[in-house]
Amino acid sequence: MPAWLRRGDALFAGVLLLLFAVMLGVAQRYPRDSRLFPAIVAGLGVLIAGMLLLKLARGRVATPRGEEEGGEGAAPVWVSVLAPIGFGLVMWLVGFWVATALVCFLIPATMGYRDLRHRLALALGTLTVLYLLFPVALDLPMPRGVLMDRFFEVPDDED
Amino acid sequence: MLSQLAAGLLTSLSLENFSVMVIGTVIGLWIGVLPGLGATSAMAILIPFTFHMNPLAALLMLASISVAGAFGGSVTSILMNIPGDASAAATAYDGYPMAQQGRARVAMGLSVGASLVGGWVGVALLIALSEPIAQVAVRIGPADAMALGILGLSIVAAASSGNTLKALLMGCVGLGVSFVGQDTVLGVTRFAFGSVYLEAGIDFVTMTIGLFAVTEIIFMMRSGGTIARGGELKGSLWEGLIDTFRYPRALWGSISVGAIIGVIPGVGATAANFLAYSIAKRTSRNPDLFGKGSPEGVIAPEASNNSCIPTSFIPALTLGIPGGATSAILLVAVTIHGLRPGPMLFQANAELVYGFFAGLLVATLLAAILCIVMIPWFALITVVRVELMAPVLLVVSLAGAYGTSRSVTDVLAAIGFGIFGYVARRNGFPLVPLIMGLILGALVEKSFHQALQISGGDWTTFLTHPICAGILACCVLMLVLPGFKRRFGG
Repeated sequence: MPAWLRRGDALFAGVLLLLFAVMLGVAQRYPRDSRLFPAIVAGLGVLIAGMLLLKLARGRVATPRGEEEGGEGAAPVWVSVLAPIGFGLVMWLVGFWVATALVCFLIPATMGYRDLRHRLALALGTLTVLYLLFPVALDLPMPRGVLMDRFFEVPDDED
Repeated sequence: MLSQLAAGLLTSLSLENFSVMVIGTVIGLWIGVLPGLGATSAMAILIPFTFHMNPLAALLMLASISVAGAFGGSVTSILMNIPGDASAAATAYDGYPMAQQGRARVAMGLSVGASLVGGWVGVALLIALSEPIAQVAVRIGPADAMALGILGLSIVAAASSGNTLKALLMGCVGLGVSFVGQDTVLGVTRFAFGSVYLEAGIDFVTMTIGLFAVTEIIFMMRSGGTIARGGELKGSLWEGLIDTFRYPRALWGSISVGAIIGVIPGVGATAANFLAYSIAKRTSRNPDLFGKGSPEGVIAPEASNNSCIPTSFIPALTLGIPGGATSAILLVAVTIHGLRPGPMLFQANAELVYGFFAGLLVATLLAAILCIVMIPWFALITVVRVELMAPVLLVVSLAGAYGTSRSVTDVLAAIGFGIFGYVARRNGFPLVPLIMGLILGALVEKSFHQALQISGGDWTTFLTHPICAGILACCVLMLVLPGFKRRFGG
């Protein structure tokens, strides 16, 4: 495999090229007026992605300047990417409040912040402020999670 | 007019009107700081509370939220690189690097100074030019509106120096995402693949939170330490306020851009923000400083953003056509209170109209004062350790994503966009064109079809309309010229 194809931006451009090609194909299913503009944009996308790949192959695109990563207290890449995913999954399963408490307690630890009392205070403080902000002030009840909804009956307002 | 304005000022300073302005300003500033929950959400949440107020108090409360929301949106842009609102996104380009250099207070001072001047000039223009400007705005046809949308995308792509192709590609991705859901022409559902969630279209707020907030939090966690790299704060708020006037070209040029864009229905403050930033960069004596903490890079988007809001009320009040989301909500309030937008509004309800205009001046000043009081406290966040700040920001941002439509799917979508944004940014693909594509997608497509329908399917209509052809020529020049310069100009 040529070296330029192993570059992250070449892979990303390749994926986008594929996506635009699929979009061009899918657009053909729609009536003329509905497909016209998406087809133009998808065609442009294929063209631009192709031009970018060509420039990359010719070595005319500078290597992306990496943003500052890995300083003191930096999280490993898996923690940084998995933290939002984990929050989303836990929130979906057991609700916003449990997910919030876990995230505030565990993320600092995975980043090397070991002080238990500070982490507990952070979790409790965040829960309190968010409770006052969302359900109380903005009248916005937060999700309870599919498991909580299944195991604990929610009283029906209409009854 | 001046006597009417003076009478309006007295009316707006009555106890009831002034109190609702203070409440609106506090709410606007507070909600503006929360990622995803911008002024528009706050106005939408609070509009039922205004039904029982007198019409002027209701309008002033909503307008105060709108003005203060614009001030608040820039706070998180500067301090955390997370725009409270999409219309504050360009502020992060230079505001955040300034915060990283420990100059958060100076950047916030610049933001408040530019916002205050921009807001006041915007209101002055609203007062003086409402009717004549509205008459020009109605002459902008669908072809011209489409060209303006493309101009917005081209400007952002051209501003991504050295990355034009990558930026254009991301702009196409944004346009592609805007096609998901029902189309604006026939109402056909496109690219939903049987998903009920996708049938409703991708929510703009969800995507903004994902691409800006979640992406930034991932980068923040990867970098560790504190936002202010040295762990200390330098410079003062007053230094920033005074510096605002040291860059008159950026200040007044951007105010003009914002005021003009505000009048054009559908384009909005976000486009004004990027357009002003790009023009300020091109006309600056120090363009190389942009993106690295240039004061002009903070002044330009803030001045344009805040001059855009009052002028967006011009088509709303004089023609009943909202210039953007906030003026659309204001229009709803006007109608609910039994008032009819149009030229007659100025004659039949002069006291209300001029009270509203004067109240806007007061609301802008109130928002600036409140910001000045709170900035020293806000700025401290840049010296808090990322280990403690990242989880809180993550939770607040995703709660904002949930709050827009009360859907857990929106939270999962925001996380997906955040990871996409991380991969894209890491590989040098800018995210702003993607958001611009999503914002302008519906406008561009709708205008494109309308123009074709009016011309009977004649594609040359885009080249024969002088305004449209001129704007499209500008787009081509903007994108092609730098490449030619690099290749042939040395």
